[in-house]
Amino acid sequence: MINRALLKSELEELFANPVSWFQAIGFHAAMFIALSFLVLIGAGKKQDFWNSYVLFSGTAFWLMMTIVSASYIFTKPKISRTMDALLVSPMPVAEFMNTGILACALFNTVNLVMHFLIAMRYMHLPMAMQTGLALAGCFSLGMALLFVLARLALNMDSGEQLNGYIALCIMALIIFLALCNTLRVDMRISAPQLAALSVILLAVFIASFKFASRKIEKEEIVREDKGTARMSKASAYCRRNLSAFAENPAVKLWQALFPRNALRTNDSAKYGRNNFLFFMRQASFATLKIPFIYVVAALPVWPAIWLTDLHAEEMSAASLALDFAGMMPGLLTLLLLISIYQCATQIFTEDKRNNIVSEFLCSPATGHQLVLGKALGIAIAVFAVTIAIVFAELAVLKPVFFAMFINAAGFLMLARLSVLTIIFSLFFTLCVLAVKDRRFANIALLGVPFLQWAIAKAANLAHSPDMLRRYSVEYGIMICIWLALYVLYLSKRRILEAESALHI
Amino acid sequence: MIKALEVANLTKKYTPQAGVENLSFSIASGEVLAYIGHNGAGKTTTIRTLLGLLKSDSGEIKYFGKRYDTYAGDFDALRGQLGVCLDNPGFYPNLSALKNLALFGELYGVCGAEFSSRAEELLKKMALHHVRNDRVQTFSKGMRQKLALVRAMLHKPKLIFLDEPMTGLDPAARVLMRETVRELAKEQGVSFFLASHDLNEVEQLADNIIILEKGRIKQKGTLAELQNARSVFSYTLVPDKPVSPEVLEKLRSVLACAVSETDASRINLSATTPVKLARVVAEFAKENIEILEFHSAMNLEQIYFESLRRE
Repeated sequence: MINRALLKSELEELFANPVSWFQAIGFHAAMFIALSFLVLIGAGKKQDFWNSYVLFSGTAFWLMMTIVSASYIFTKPKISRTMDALLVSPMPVAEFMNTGILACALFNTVNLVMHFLIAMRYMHLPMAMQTGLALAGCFSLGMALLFVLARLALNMDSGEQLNGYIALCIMALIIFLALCNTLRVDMRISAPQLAALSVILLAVFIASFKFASRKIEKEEIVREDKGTARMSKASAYCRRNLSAFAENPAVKLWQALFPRNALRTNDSAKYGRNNFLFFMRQASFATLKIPFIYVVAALPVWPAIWLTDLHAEEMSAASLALDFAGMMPGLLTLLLLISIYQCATQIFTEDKRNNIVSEFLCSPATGHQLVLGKALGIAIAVFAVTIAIVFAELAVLKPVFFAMFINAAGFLMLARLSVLTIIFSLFFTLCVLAVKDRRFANIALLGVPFLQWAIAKAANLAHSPDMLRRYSVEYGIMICIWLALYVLYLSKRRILEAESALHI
Repeated sequence: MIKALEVANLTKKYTPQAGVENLSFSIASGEVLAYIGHNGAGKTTTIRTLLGLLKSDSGEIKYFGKRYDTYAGDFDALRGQLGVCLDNPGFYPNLSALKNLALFGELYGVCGAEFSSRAEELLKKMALHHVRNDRVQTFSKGMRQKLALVRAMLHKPKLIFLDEPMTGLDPAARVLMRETVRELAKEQGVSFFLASHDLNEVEQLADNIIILEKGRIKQKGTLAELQNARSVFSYTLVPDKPVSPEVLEKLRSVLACAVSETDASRINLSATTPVKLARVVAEFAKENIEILEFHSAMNLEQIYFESLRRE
């Protein structure tokens, strides 16, 4: 059933790997910010709040952890062809799959338990029989989804497809809860309901285990042309149907602004502008293909909004909204930081692995165009996705909260966040492209919030009541720090050196 | 004598155009069979089908005299006798070389003291002993390739599949690899199925060669058999002095073959039947020309291209 040697290696690959932990810590941080808001408004005192939280947010958190664990256990070994070597060994394929699922489940469970233990200790989560039932329900639902996702992962050509499915599952949870909210279904879950739900979810878990244990074919796992065939069909369809669309004046304008073949242009005067725009366009498109940002942007806000409805009777709508408005800048900053880190490291790791960075640097493009163009492209895409998702959720689920930001202060907050996004993006692009070790970016992910906090404190020392002035001081300091780094590190040679020294 | 592998009429098709069709060949004990063909000819598909990663559409596969459905569960028992080094070999990148080997050692039933001594011996042989505790993430392509070979040989298999084993190897590692394959084949009777684009290596290593084109076997046999089976016989001569066009024309009609001058010092002859050296020397002597060098054997590269050109 389970191969112990493989399980040991897979657990080591997951637990002794700093990158998987950095990704997990990002998800933990996003969840805790949302949770701290719920505790702040007093929801944390109620047992039925925790029941709902453990069941729904717990499941969503489990799914987020699956992004990390399934990528190390299923998708990466598949892409690197480690899986082929495992499949030609005497180990049966079912044993291989069960072992992988167990490794993912262990990683997810450790993180889930860690999240709840910290919540119990610092957020005073009341542990009761009902919490245990909710946890059993969450675990059953999580395992059921893991079986299905693992089966899908083995059939997929890339990790992005799996992340897309996980994003879809989380969106389905959001839509389900939004629907309950709209229909005014009381989702406070009492003990007998929880017990019944846990039994149902256990049945779902067993059914999905049966589905996943259905004889899996090795050919399903190793054949590489499935996705390519689908893609070529899809692209042929698009080409057929979009040829008329390409004649549209707006499309022509877009193409003029963001030329496809910038690097190949013969007009040397256009190199600067075209290459910069080329890199920007390329990075923004690559960023939009990373479902991670959609998940991170969507997840921490909705339970906060939805669960406040259950506990709003003790607090006035105005005070709730004020608390929420106070939490928003911090939450959005963190979401942007995590998303930019993930997108920058993922895009540049891929580019470096495929020697694309070297190819760019052998072209007439300069290091400045590469770094600035890519950073701005990532910043624009991450900012657009994060802000659009968060505010769309607010507008649909809680129009009162949404209205809080339709004013000068709201716009000032967005302007501040947009500048911050660009600075973060430039910083991480520089970290991954021009610094020898990716570990520097990992350390920066933890260091940046503290740095930002320290700078904000320094700016506050001016004791100016004028927000704009305070922000100016804050950004002045951050831009100076960043410029110093930029001058220190940026050159074509430096990027190439860093690339050759980078061990991916 | 029982063959290590016998394949009869094996077919595996992805689409009517892609895949392999009607393959029949065998590998004797201690034999190195080279499998060559252009990109997309079906080399990797053949290996994957033989290893049970792909389900064959039809045909028969026998390992060590016993017929197997390689896609069925009972084939797993035989896998311990097969070694595999696939194209672009994969490892767990965050684990050390030794830990990766330990995992595969356990999967193939090599553990404990046996694993330690075997891994030590092979890592030393492949010049990887000093990096055995480094993470595979830090390895170059050639080092990974060598580690994949160690992995393939760890459990002392009787038949080893090598898919592009020379990719990324430096000259010293190529020599080492060649020596290892020769030693295992000749001294221990290990059979090899070697799919490669490196015709020079194939020429030096292979006992038998299969040329594959569009999923079908175009030619097979030993290097000598392939040389004799050619439709055009080409020779290169080095004369002691430049030959005038008039003399070339005369030789063309006398020898009944195509004669052309490649540069000032070399002359090419090509005919549809073998041309005897003595006759060539005699005809050139009549024109007061001495032949300093005469090359007749085609190398594998020439055979390969001629085979692909032939309908």
